[in-house]
Amino acid sequence: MINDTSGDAELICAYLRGDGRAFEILYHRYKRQFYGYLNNLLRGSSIDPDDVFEETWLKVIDKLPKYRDEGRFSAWLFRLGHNIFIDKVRKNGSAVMQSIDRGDMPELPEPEHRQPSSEMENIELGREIEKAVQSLPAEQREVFLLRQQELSFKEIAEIQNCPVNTVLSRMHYAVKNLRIFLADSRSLVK
Amino acid sequence: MKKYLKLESLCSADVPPELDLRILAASKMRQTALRRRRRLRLAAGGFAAAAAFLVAAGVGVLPGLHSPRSVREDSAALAAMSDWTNVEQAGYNLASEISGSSSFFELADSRTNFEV
Repeated sequence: MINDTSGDAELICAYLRGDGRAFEILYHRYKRQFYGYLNNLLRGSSIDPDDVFEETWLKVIDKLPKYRDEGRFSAWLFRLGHNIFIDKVRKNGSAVMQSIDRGDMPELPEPEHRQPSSEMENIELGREIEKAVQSLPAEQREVFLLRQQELSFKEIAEIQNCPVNTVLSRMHYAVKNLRIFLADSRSLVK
Repeated sequence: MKKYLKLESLCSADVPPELDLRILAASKMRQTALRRRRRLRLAAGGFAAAAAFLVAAGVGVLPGLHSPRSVREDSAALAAMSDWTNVEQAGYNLASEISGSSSFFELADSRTNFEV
């Protein structure tokens, strides 16, 4: 008998056996995470996150009978979403990538170390970070957002189809760029 | 895993209800199709089993249903043939007996005539 605490693989098996409720549980478990990820990834681009979200879930429905329980379902879901996003970028041409990769990061010195745990409670800082994330190059932003979803670097490397070292490097630069951006915006406020 | 700061607004967002409805409706449609396919597969399996059973019966894998009747038919036909042979044999015997008697009588007649 399945319920809200059942594992992903168990839910998928139940769905394939004909239990419609299993898919609903699975969907409600990941929909907010995935939707949030797409919205942050595609903000400012001409690609509609709703389209990618819907297409990805339709693909999930279509491919579930062939799903192999070799990793986490969430990693599989994000990989499908990434592939659909890339397909759309290819179809729409490089204009989309340019709008995503604005590359308007200011070259500023690294800020001094802070205690972010106390600052994170500040809503204003949260907004600043969101803005800073939007300014990251697409690949760095994707790595940063996937790390926010608690995916491992190995899983992200599989999603981006690149070596783990590349992902680590992207994450390093993403964090570095965010620091620079935040330091810049703080200095402007002062 | 190294701990990173998590921002709720970066991690999740509310999904529009119409998207929910569309996706869940699609999953139900897919499920119906899967169920139909499973039923068809079961029906096809049953049909194949029935066909195999009929073929097996036809070629005599199940002798209880097929052979006795055939043997009965065969033995009846053989009996009829053997009956016919008996009749023929009887007819032949009778014919030779009659011809033998008649030749005996002819011989007896000619001897009588000779003696007279």
